[in-house]
Amino acid sequence: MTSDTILLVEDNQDDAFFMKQALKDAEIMNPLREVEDGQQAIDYLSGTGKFADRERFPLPAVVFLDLKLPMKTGHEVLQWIRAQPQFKKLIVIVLTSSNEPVDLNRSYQLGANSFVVKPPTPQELLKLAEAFKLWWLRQNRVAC
Amino acid sequence: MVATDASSPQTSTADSVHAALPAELLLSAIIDSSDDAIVSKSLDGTITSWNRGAERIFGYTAAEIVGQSVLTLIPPELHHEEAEILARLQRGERIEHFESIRMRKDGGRFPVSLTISPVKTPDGRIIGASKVARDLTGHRKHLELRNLHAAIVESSDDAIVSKDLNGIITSWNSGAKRIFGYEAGEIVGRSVLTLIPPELHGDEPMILSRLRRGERIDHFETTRVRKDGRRVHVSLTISPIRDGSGVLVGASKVARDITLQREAEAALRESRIKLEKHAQELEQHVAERTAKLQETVAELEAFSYSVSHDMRTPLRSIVGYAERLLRVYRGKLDAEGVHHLERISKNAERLELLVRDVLAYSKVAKSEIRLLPVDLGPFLETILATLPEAQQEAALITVQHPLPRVLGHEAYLLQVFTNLVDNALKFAAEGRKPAIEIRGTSDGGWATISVCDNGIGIAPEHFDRIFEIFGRVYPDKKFEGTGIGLSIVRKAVQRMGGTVLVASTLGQGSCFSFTLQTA
Repeated sequence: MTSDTILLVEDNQDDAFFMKQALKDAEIMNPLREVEDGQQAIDYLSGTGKFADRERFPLPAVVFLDLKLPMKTGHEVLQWIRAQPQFKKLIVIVLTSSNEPVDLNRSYQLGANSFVVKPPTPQELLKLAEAFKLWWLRQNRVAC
Repeated sequence: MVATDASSPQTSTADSVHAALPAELLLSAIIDSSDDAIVSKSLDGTITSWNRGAERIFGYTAAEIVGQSVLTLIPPELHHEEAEILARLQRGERIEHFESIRMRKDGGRFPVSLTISPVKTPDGRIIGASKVARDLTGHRKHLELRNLHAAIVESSDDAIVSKDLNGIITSWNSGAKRIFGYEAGEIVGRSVLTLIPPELHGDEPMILSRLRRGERIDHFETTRVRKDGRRVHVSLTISPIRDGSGVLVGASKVARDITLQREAEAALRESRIKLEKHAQELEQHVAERTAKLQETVAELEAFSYSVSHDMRTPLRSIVGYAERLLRVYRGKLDAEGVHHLERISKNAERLELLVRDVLAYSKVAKSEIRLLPVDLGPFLETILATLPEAQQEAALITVQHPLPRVLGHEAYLLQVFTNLVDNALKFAAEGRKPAIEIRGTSDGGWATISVCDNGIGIAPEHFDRIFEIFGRVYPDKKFEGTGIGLSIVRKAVQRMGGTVLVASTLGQGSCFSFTLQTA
């Protein structure tokens, strides 16, 4: 099941806005889906409830995962993802405002593919989006 | 018992009665063998006979002294005694055990006990006197000693008491009176139980049984009752008393009043307890405060975590929207609107920097770190390569290799170097390309690393202030910064066990150096 959808798990609407803007400015055309808390992220990935329609909510190729989330934290979501056989190879990029070693270490231990601190300015966020496009969407080879 | 003939020079019976009767011979022998001096004298005081005892006691031979006045034997100051003695003799009186002092031939004086009897003719005429003198020297010493002992006992502060083997008190000194309150007359003849508190009556049989075995009891500390009912703490020493033949007849008891000592001990104990209690309270206070401090530290850590997340998020949004407005909607704004937006953007960015630095400071100030060996040369190259401001075209940065291997913490070292290099670049002198030189030396287990620049320099009066948090020397407009950088540097170096120093000449440049242990 190949897909080019990007799932953005972000509760802060401003951050979500800037991220969408940056992806757009970086000319990333991949479809983008958004959820606002940890439980929704799990529901989306497992196709539960309103996310049952895979046409509208296709399984993502990449997940941008915030850590500080309502309902379920990013770490809990990550832990759930890696516990699902079909998501063991799913690319998860932690995108957080935390620069705490505790969060960083735990994220990698739980199986994050990358850990990125939210840049303080839109310019830097744009750079990040461009780098993401180049690295994860163009160069990176995913497991099949 | 003794009568001698006044006319006989020797101890033998009178020459006139030559018919030596066996009884008279016997008498003579008895007189000669007596230890006492047996002497006769006439009524005018002339010595008429002198036995061997007299020779031994006074030192004169019979030949020397017979015919001499008895005053020869009497010390001059006591000569008056003789007249009295003669007067009494003439009245036919006998003088018994008259104690006085007499003199030996060598002038030595000694105590005597005299018994003097008139010598009468068969018809009752008094013709002289017989004198028996006993040397009391030895006897006197014994008596004196006894008196001395009695005086010592009497003057003692301790109670000195004797009792018989039934526990009946037989003697009582003034110390006993003082300590227990009873007069000797009141207590002698009564049981020692009178002095023992009822609850301790059981001690007495034990004491008595030990005494009967001939044991001595030393420094037995116990309580006794005074006549007025008050208790006294005493230390008892009880020894068996034996008579001349070694038979146990009673006990002597020395009681020392240790009430004051006991009270002092009790007071001491009480103060020690108070002190301990105080120390405990103090420790508890310290523990409570430590707990509070730890709580505060934990709160601060939680606070800094919250600063890093919650406070930066809205800030990022402000920066983001302002920037977007400037970029996308610039054409719809006039110059003033653009200017205001730029100020919003600028201020938000500055706030972001402040939050970042405060966070960095709180990170170097808190939590335990483990020092590990760091090879400063490669470490520094990596930092410089990623520092955007430190690129070739903007500044000349020289690292004098080799740099020492130190004991440090990489995150802290990163803070130290980036802040020092940032400062060196920021405070560059106008019209001079910034040049920074980093070098290191090591000596005696310590490395000194210096970062020197050719910038504007620092006046000596500001050397202290620059390390204080928010301790800025220049106004914001001239050199942008948060005023936290050098505080972070100092704190980080301190946390790694070193110190920071600054040397500078205004207008020529500054040198910041710090020490670290070598690895």
